[in-house]
Amino acid sequence: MVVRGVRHSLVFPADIVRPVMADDQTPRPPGQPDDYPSGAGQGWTALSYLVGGMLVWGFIGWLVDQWLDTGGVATGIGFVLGMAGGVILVIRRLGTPT
Amino acid sequence: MFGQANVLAAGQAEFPPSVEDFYLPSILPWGAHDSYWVTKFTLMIWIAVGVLIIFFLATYRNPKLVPTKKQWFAESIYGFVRNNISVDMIGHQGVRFAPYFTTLFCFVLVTNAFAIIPLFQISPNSHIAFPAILAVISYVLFNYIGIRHHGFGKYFKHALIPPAPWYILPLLIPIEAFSTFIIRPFSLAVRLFANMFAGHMLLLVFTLGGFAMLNANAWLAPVSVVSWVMTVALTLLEALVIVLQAYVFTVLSASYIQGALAEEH
Amino acid sequence: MDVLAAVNGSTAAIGYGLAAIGPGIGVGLVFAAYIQSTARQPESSRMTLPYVWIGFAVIEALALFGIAFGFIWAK
Repeated sequence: MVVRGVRHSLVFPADIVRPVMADDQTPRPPGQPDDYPSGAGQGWTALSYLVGGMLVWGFIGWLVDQWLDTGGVATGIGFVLGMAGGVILVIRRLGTPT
Repeated sequence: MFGQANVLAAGQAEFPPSVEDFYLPSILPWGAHDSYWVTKFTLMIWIAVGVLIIFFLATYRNPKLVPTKKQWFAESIYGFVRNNISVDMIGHQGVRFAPYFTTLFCFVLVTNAFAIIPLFQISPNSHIAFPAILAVISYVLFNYIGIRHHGFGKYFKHALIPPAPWYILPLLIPIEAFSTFIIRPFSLAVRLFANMFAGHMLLLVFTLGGFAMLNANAWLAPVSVVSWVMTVALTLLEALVIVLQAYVFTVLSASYIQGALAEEH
Repeated sequence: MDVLAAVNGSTAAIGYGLAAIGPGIGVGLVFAAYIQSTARQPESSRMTLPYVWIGFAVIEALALFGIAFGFIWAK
């Protein structure tokens, strides 16, 4: 059935019985979800891009190191590249104003 | 559960507490070594599930238009999760997910709350297994929702390809993949686990430390009392952490589902 | 030549400690600016939030380098 414009297959009483309680005054107009997760989600995303970038490319750099036996240089390059990649990702995904 | 305190009071301090203190004795079979299938944790999980089912069933037995007190309480919880978490993060499609988020929030809240309730005094979430399963459920859910909404190939294209010029994409795509598909579930589980583990460990340190000091030298009694006052203060802090971690787990799950459903670029 | 004084231990640990000062102050400045600007004009909070993440990412990069190179350069 359709409740307030959204089709549900299973409707819970709290969604019908208490329209006043349900309090449809959400701060943003319903309809379009936001482009970015807000607040806490963005913070953890930024941190995970930075740390993840460093880990992934550091690991790839370490593998190259083991293969070519360059004694640590490739790992260092991997860390720096990964960090640069992480920063670029944060700027592109979270840094463009809506 | 009184074993440790009794041993301490008898004069053998088990200070400092270690990871071994998190392995509780087996209940079925009673006292067996290395058998962890039925312990206090199992009972706590069953009690949590029972409490939640009975609570929501009983308060919604005969719903009235002007709510009774219990009905209002249950509706407040559902309304809070639905409005401030589901609809805020996902938009009006969020109503579909509100039951899952309410269950998740209430379950994490109740199991976390066992950390400060007398006679239980440890949270099942201080073993990595329980947060791990909850994180896996959220992980499978947001990926499934994304794949069902966008189609299999388009979902991965949308999730993995950031808005950047084509020549640096090879640098960025492994980072995106790692961040979205590995760090997300891992961090969901570890965040909850680490908070509960650390909270319980702190309470253990201050409680057992008070006993250990008392057993070492009777003149240290005032310092022991200070240690126990710290335990009370930390219990209050733990209450805050309990609610906050339940909220953060649910909000992040909602945010991942929102990311999977977003139409962009 | 006689050794008159010596310091034993890990200079990587000292290096990491020194490296953590700058980013700590920097991230504090970024979030302090965001909180102040939101306090002065709350409607601007959504507009300035992306710049918070840019600033945080660039500054935190240096802090994370500190950790990583602390392990690489430790003896």
